[in-house]
Amino acid sequence: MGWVEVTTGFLSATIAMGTVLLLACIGEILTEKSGVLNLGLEGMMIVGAVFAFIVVQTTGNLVLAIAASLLAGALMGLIHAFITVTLKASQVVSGLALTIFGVGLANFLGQNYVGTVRVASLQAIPIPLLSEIPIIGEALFNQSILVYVSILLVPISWILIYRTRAGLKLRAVGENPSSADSLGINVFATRYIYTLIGGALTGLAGAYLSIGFNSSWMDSITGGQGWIAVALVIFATWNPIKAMLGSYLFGFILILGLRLQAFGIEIPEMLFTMLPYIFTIVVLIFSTGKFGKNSKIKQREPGSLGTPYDREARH
Amino acid sequence: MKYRLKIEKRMEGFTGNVVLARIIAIVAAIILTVIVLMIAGFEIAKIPRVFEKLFIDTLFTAKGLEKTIVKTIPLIFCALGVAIAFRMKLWNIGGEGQFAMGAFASAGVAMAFPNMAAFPLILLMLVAGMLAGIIWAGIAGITKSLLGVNETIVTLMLNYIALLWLQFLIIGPWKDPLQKGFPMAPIISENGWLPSFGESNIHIGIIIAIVIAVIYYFVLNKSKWGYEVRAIGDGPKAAKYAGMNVKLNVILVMTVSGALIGLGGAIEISGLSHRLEPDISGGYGFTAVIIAWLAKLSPTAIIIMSVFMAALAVGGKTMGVLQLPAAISAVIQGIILFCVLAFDFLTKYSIKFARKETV
Amino acid sequence: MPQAVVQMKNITKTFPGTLANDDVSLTLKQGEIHALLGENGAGKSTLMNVLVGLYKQDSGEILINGEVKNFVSPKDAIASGIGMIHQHFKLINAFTVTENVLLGDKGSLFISKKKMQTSVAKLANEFGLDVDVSAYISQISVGEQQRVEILKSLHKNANILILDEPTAVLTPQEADALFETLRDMTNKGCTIVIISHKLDEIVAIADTVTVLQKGRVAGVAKGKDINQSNLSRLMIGDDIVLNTTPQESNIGKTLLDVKNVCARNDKGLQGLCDVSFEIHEGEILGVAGVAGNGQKELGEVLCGLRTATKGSICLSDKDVTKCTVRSKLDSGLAYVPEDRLGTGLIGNMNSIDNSILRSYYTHKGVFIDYKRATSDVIDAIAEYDVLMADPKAPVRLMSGGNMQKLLLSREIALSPKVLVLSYPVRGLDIGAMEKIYSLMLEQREKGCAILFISEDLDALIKFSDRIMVLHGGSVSGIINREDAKIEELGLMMGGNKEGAS
Repeated sequence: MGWVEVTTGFLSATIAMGTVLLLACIGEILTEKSGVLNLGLEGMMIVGAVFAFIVVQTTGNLVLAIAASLLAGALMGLIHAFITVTLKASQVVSGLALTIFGVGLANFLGQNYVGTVRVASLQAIPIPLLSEIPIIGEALFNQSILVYVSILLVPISWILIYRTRAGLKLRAVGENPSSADSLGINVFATRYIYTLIGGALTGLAGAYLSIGFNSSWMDSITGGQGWIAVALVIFATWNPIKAMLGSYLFGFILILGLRLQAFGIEIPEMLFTMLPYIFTIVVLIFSTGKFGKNSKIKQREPGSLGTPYDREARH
Repeated sequence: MKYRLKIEKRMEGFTGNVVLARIIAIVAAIILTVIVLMIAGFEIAKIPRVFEKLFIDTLFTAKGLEKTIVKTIPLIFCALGVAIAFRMKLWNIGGEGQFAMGAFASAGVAMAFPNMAAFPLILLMLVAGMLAGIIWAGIAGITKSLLGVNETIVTLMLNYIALLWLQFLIIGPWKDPLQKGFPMAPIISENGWLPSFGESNIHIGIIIAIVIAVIYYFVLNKSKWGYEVRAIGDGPKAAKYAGMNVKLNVILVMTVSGALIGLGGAIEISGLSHRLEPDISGGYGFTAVIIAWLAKLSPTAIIIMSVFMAALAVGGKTMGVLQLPAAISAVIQGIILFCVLAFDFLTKYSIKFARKETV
Repeated sequence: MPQAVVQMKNITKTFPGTLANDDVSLTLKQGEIHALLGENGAGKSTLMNVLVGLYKQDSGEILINGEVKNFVSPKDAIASGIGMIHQHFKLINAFTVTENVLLGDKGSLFISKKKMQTSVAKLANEFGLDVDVSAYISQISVGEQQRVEILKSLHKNANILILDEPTAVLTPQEADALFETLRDMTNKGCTIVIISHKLDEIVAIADTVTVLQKGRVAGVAKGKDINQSNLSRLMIGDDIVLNTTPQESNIGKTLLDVKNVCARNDKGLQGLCDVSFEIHEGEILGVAGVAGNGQKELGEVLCGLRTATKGSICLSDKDVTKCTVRSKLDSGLAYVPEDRLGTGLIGNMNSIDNSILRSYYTHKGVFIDYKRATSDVIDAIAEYDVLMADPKAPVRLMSGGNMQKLLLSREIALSPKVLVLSYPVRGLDIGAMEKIYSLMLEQREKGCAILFISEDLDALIKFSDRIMVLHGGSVSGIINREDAKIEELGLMMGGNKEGAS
C-alpha cells in the first residue's frame, strides 16, 4: 500500500471516528452552556444507535432511522431535564441513571439484532470537485451526510452561541441564572431546550455509529465514547471550534491505536486510548479552580454548571 | 369533621418523609417496569414470573442465594467507600477505577510471590489493593483540596484510565501463555485464594465486608474523626468555627474512600475470580452510587440495598429462560433510580392530614 | 401635587418559618427620593422583591399609576417601568458591560459587538454615567459595576428605580457622586427608592422615609421629621422592660487588649480600620452601631475565622493575633456568632453533637465520650431551661430561643476568659431574652471579659459597663454607661466622632 492511500485511509477513518464524538460534544456544549451537566451521554448515544438500527432493519428507510435517533435522544434529554430542572434533583445522579438505563435499554432492545448485518447504510456522498483534491479531498469531502452535518454544526453553533441574541441568553442562563431570571429570561425553558437539543445530537451521534460505521449491531456498541465526549467538552473549553479539533484529535488517537496493531508495531493500543482521558484531567486542572482564576474569562466553565436553579432560594 | 391534605414546602435544606418517598418510588418503579415489559411485547401473564426470577429465586433458593451473596460482597465495599465520600459531599464516582486498581495491585502481588505462605500473601494482597485505591482516589482528593478542581470529572476520567490499564495488561504483559484464544490473565497461585465456606463460592470476604461495615458505623458515629467528617459534610461553616482542618479532611476522606473500594477489588480477586479480568469492576462502582443514594448513606441500609441490587443482577442473568435479555436488570436499575430521584422532591414538602378550618 | 406612581397596599408575604412582611403599605410619589429604612430582617428587601416581581405576595395589592398590577415574573415589573439595583449585583461576571446592559432585549437574531457598544456608550453619556462599555464585569471596580446596574434599568426605560443598600460598597466620594447622579435623575422624571440602614445618608438625601420594623411599618417621616434621632427611635423600636439588672461592677485587670486592628470584609474592602479597645475582668463592653459597620468582621477576627491584616490582639498578655481558632479556644476565647444556625450550630445534628462542637478534640483517645457528653447536655438543658422533647432530635427543629441557650451553654462550658456575643438575642422572645441576658451577667460576675455586640441601644445602655460605637469599620468612640444617652449614641452610629456634637 502506497503511503498516499495509507494517509488518506487514515484521515478518512479519523474524521469518521471523530464525527461521532463531535456530534455528541457539540450537543453537550450547548447543554452545559445553559448550566446543565449531562453525564448521561453514553446512555443517550447508545439509545440513539439502537433506535436507528432497529428502524433501518424494519423499514429500510435511512431518513426515518435518523429521525428516530433524534427523537430517542431528545426524549432521554427530556427525562434528564425534568428531573434536574423541574424537580431540581442531583444532575450527577440523574446523568448516571440515564447512562445505566440507556445502556441497559439499548442492549435489551438490540438483543435480537446482535450480529445481524445492516439492511441499509449511510453512503458516502462525494462533493464534486472538492473530493478530487488528493488525500484531503478524499478524506474530507467523500463522507456520509452526517459527517457534513457535523462539520456544518461547528460554525452554526459557534455563531449561535457568540453572535446571536439567543446565544447571549443561553450564556446568561448558564453563567448566572438568577441575573438572567431578573431580566425576564425564562431559565427553565432555556435549560429544557438545550438539554433536549444536546440529547438529540447525542442520539444522532449514536445513529452514525450504528448505521454509518459498523456493519452490524453489537452489545455496548458505543464503548465509552459517550464519556469521551463529556471529557471533550472540557478539553475544548466549551468552544465548538476547539471541539472539532479535539474530536478529530481524539479520533486520530483512537484510530492510531487500532492501526498500529495492523502494522505489527508493538506500541499498545490501550495506552493510546488513555491519552484523551489524561489530557482532560490536565486541562481541568489548569482551567478551573485555583489555576482557573488566571485563565482567560472566555475559557472558564459556565458559572452555574451543575447547580439547580431555585428562584425563591434565599442567598 | 372534615380533613384535608395539607402540603407545605419545608424550610430550605430540611427533609422528611424519606421512607414514604422511597416506598412510592419503588411502587412507581414496579409499575414502570411492567409498562416497559408490555411495550417490549412481553406476555402480561408472564410478568409475575419476571419478578419471581429476579427476587424470589435469587434470595430464597440455595443456589440463587449463593450467587447473590457472592455478588453482594464487592457491592458492600464499593458502596461504603462511596458513602463516606458522599457524607462529606465529595462526589466520588470513580468506584469502577478504584476497584480495578485494587484488583490489579492484589493480582500483581499474587503473581510476584506465588510461593509465599497463604496468610502473609493474602494480607499483602489486601494491603496492596487498599494502597492502589488510596492513590487512585487520592489524586482526585489532592486536586480538589489544594487546587479546587471538581472531583466528579476527575474520578470519572480516572475510571477509564484504570480500565484501559487493565485491558493493556491482560492483552499484553500479563497474558496467560497457556490460554488459547481469548487473552486472559493467569490464575493466581492458590496461596492467594481467600478460603470459602465448604463447597460453595461464598468466600470469607463476606465476613470481612460485614466487619468493615460495623467498623465504618462506629468510626463515623463515635470517633472524633468521624465526627469531623459528619460536621464538615453537614455544616462546613460551623466546621471551620470548630477549628477543623477542612482541606486535610478532603484528602483524607477521599483516600479512605479509595482504600475501601480498592480493598473490595483485592478481595474480589482473592476470593472469587482468582485472576485479573478486564471487566472485574463489572459496573460495581456505578451501582454503588445508586446503593449509597438509596440507602441515604446508612451502613445497615447499604448492606440491605447491596443484597437487593445483587439479586437484581443475578436474576437478570437468568432472564434468558423467559426470552428476556440480561440487560433488563440494568433497565430496571435505571428505572428505580429515576423514580427515587423523581420522588425525592416529596421529602422537601411536608404532607399532613389537617382538620379543615371551619370559617 | 406630585402623583403617586406606586402604591403598595397591605402587602403580606411569608416564607416557611418567617413572616417577612406583615400588612405593609407604601406610597411613592413621582420625582421623589424615598428611603426605606430598617434593621436587618425588617422586611425591606422582601417588600421590594415583591414590587419587582421576584416574589409573589400572599395578600395585598400593587398599583402603578393607579392601575392594579399583577406581577407574575420580573418581566412584568420591567414592563411597568420598575427597575431594581440589588445589593448583591445581578451582573454576569463573564460578560462585558455592554452584554450585561443589553441582555434580555428583543430584536434581530444577529448581534453586532460594535453596534451594541456604541448604543450603550450613548446611553451612559446621556445620564452622565462613567463606564467602560467593553470591559468585563470581573475587571471593573464595584462603583463602576453599580453604574452598570443603573444603566441596565435605564436601558429598559425604568422610571422607578430601587437601589438596595447602594452605598454599602462605595467609598464616601463614590457615594457623593452617586447621590448627585440620583438627584439629576429625579429632575429628569425618575422616582428613586433607596433601601438603607445608614441614617446619615438618608437624612442627607431622602424626601420621604418609610421605616420598617420586624415586618411592619413603624412610621413614615417627611421634611423636618427626617433626622437621625427620630429615625433611630422608629427603627430600633419599643422599649422592652427587662427585669434583669446588673450588679455593682467589680472590674479587674485587662484580659483582652486589641490594638490598631485592621481587616478586610467579604468584598475585599476595608472591613475594620484601626480598631483599638480593652476589656477588663468582670466588665461588659457593649458594641453599638448599625449592622454592617464592622461588627461581623470584629467577631470573626477575635475568634480566628478572619485574619487581621494589621494590629495585635492580646489575651491575658499573650499575643494571639496570628493564632488558629483552636488555639484561641484553648487560650480561653469563646464566641457566640450572629449566624446561629449556619455557623454556631449544625442544623442536621442533634444537641449532643452540637454541644461538643468546640470541645470534642479534648476528649481523650480516638473516640468521643458520648456518655459524658449526653449527661452534660441533659444537665445543661435543665440548668438553662432549654425546652426540648428529645436531645437526639436535630437542632434545627428547636426554637430560636432554645438554640441560643444551647449555643451559649456550650460556650460558657468552656470556662472562657473572654466571651464575644454577636447579636445574642436577635429574633428571640422576651423570656428567652431575659435568660440570655442573665447568663451574660452571670459570666460578668464570674470575672469574664465580655464583648456584647447588639442593635438594641436600650439593652446596651442597661448592661454594658462601657459602650463602643462602630461606624464604617472604625471606632467612633467609647463612653461609660453613666454618660451614655440614646441621642448621642445615635449620632455616633451615624458617623460623628465622640464629642463632635
